Amino acid sequence: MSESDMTEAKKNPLSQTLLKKTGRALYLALLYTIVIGLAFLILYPYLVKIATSFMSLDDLSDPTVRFIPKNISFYFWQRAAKGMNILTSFGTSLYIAGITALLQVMSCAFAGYGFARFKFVGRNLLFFLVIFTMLVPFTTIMLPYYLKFRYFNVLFTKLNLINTIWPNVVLSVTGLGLKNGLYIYMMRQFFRSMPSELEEAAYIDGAGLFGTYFRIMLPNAFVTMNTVFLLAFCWQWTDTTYASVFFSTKPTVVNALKNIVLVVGQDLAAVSSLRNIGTLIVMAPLALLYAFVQRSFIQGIERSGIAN
Amino acid sequence: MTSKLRLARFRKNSAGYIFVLPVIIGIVFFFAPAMVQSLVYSFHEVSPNPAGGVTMSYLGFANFNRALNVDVAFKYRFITALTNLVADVPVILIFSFIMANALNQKFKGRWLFRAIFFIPVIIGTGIIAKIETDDYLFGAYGIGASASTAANAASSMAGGTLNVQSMIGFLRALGLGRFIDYIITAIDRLYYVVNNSGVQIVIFLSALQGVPQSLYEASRVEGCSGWESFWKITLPLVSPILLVNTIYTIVNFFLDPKSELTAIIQDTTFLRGLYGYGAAMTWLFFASAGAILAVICFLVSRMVFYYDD
Repeated sequence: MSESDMTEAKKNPLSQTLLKKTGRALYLALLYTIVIGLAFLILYPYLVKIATSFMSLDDLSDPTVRFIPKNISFYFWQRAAKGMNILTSFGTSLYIAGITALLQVMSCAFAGYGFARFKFVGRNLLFFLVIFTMLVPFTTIMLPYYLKFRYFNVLFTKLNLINTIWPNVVLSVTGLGLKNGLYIYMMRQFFRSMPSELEEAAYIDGAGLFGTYFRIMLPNAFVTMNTVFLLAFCWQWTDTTYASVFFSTKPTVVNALKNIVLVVGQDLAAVSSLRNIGTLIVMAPLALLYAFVQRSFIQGIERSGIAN
Repeated sequence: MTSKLRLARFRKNSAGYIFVLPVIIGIVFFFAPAMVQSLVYSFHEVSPNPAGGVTMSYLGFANFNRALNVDVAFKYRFITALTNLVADVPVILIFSFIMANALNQKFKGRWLFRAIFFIPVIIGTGIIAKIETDDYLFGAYGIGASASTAANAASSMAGGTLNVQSMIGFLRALGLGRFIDYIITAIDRLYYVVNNSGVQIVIFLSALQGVPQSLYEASRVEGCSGWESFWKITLPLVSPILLVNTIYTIVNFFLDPKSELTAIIQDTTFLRGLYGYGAAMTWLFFASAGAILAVICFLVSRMVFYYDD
């Protein structure tokens, strides 16, 4: 995709300017076609879901009704909200995803700074291992992790930590949680792109190691940390890999969504509608969150700016 | 350099260990033991021990043999998963690179399109992705395939794809079967690719933002066209990120909640309780995917250009 240049065109004769202008117009038309088309492809399933969710049972079995419901009904919304125990499940997931994401942001920023700024012996090997932890399919270590936390050894007493938040706490603090390798990578890239004069000045002013990190580096990393937090929170909210082992009976939104089908029974149109609405209910807080923070999220992405 | 200065620098660099200490603890106490344990399981028959832990009896390569030569269901999904891996990675990489370039252009409404493109990353993952396309819920509760196909028909009715189905039938009847199948597969793939390129677009976009503007200005002065500066400046400078994105795409593939292979491994391990056999399956997948990854990384790293050198 080339970048046409208007300023240069102005220096050229008129015909050439015209040519460039048409070229630019054609190019923009192509760009918009692609971008709008793909945006539609992304949004379409969500729009259909929302439209279908307000259909009554009659509308669902009526082949003449498509997209726009004839009789707007909140029946399935009510049933889904009740079936999913919405307050309990939102509370549980908020608690788990919130704490997990917070810990992951802190530990990944901490480690990312270490990888970005210190040339200690074995750094490259360790960083390779961090990337490697991401590469291993979770199914490989699923059972050992389960056993580890099922019989967790604290001072020779074996505790059952399954279905508590502790497996997530332990793994998040040690940088082994869901996609933590990616977060460490993002934080490292950010810290690498920061000018080192900032730290040197802090050291000269007598700030210690942690003083520099917490007072100089972290405040600057806020935007990137924001992005990491959003990713960590959303991915934890909908997670089915770690959660299937650690939170199999916790009333999270994911488990509530699984259970909703059992509540309904056999009517297939109703099942599919409830399934739709259940998905919307799980997505709603994330969509809301994203709507509020998307600007800063995209900024954070730009600023994890891989300076290399 | 005086020895004092060298010592100071060494001490400053050693301070890095404090920052990565949690990660070291994690790898030494959780990750590495889990890997070793899983490898050991794959050579044993493993059954849970009521006292805590498991009891094992040695089987040699029997588990691997069973996966590759006896278990047809596994073998089929194993090969499909590997083929998809090889086929999808380049498509996703190329697509996300093009999209990152498009979203990096200056045009009206760019922020809105950027926001839309990251929607699948933010809310389309995990259980949502799982439910979107397959009948995970039914599978999970063993209601059976027939009920789920009926439900899919019902949901496609609700979703309004029924018309498309009848149109496809009509075109097939006209003898355009092969052509229409090709189009459908391509569109199907496009949807998959778009929904799985979000993070890669993000990573490429940040790389594009990191290309110094001064280079473009200099090349413009030298009379370089936009097309030329794309090939001579943008592409080489972004190429190191290609490796990162390749790795990420493959990782994402492993974590794909819709993967039938992951489903079969989880079923074998947790529902059927065949811990050793499940471990053998996952090691087979991991090892072969790792080999593919190594080959891809080798090929990609030969194309990579490092600005520092």
